Amino acid sequence: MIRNGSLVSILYGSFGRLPSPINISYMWNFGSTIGLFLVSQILTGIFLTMHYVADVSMAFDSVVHIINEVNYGWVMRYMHMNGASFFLGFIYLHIGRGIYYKRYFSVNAWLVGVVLLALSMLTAFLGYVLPWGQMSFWGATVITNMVSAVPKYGTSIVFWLWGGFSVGAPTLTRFYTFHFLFPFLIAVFAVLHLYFIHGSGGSGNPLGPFSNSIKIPFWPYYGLKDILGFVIFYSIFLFVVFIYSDTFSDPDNYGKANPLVTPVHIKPEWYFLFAYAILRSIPNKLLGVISLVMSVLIFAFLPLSQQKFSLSIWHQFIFWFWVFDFMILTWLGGCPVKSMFNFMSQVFGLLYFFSFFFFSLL
Amino acid sequence: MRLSDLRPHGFGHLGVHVKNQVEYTLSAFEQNPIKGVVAKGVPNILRRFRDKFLVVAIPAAVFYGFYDFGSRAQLAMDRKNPADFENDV
Repeated sequence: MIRNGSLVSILYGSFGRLPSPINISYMWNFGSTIGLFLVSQILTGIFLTMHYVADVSMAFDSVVHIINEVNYGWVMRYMHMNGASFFLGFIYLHIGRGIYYKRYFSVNAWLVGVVLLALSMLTAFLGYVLPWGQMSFWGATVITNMVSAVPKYGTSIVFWLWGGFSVGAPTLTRFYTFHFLFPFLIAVFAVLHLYFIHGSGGSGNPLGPFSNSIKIPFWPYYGLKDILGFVIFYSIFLFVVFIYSDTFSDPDNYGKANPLVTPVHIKPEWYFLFAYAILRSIPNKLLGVISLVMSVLIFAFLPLSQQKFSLSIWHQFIFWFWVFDFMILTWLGGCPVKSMFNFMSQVFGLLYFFSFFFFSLL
Repeated sequence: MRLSDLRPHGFGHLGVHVKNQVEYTLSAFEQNPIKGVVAKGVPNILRRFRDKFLVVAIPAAVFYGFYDFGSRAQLAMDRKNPADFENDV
């Protein structure tokens, strides 16, 4: 007998005998995979902090030192760098599964999920600045400057965020502090996310939110299925880390930050490009910033939708329409600012927001 | 005091209270774990693909069309149009 309230009983109740729907598919693997990558990022990050120096004169060189001289430092660095892409990639797949199967009707879990998305994006942005390459510096400059769009106090807020009158040494050290802190905040919110999912009758399933008639224990069925998912996805991840390590990175970030030389094309990592396209497409700075923020926060409004648990053909059609719209916005975010691309960003940005309107009706 | 107050609470005991658990078992000698994996599995894959093909392919084709048109149009805007210089001496 396991004592009630002990750690073992909590773990056993959450991952052992947890009653789970009998019919959840591989689309339900993404949540646990995100957890795997969070652990991977924390562990590789801890190893990187042993050699990284958060000072503008040494940050870039410390990263070069990690890659070239620290034993297996290159493994830690490229695992951490590509791990961020995989972490956010699986978050997007997880959100896509949630929208397709209308999981936003589990309101508490969904809203905690939106907080997790925002925290993860913020953590990734802060982390990208730390190597202090050209794209790190100029990406930080562009995005933090967005805050100056706030009426009246915007400029003061930006100077406060920077710790000076431009992105500099105080900015780097505070970004390092928050980049170290936020993953633990993400872990706390992830536990809260699980609490709400387990407390609302358990996981949804492909046929809707209710599955109380037939449940099977989490272990061994979904425990082993999740482990299979870990093996497959982590193998793909390691393949990218060891063979195609620079697939997701920008060549400009292999040069040290130079405040006097602006890169020709400043763009963030791929997982921010859809929002970047929406931001750039709007001529008005404040409206652009509001659109950027809303492109992420709009997920929080989905629980207000008309409650219909059926997955009508129209819901599916709009879902795939939205997915390809997201992909084309990602492509446009990486394109230079030219007339046709700008026009397309405006049109597809509008369609991105309209898709949520249709989700709420169908 | 209600009977439900005696039930354990908190993390590990959230959600539904499971009762009337039924366990089905079958002898290992009575099972073939890969029975029908090709004969039934492959037609099932084809059926599931056919069911979803149009709902995925139509938006994919539409957006690919926009991507193709947009990149070609921008490329054309970046270049000179030979027709504009036809009558040059």
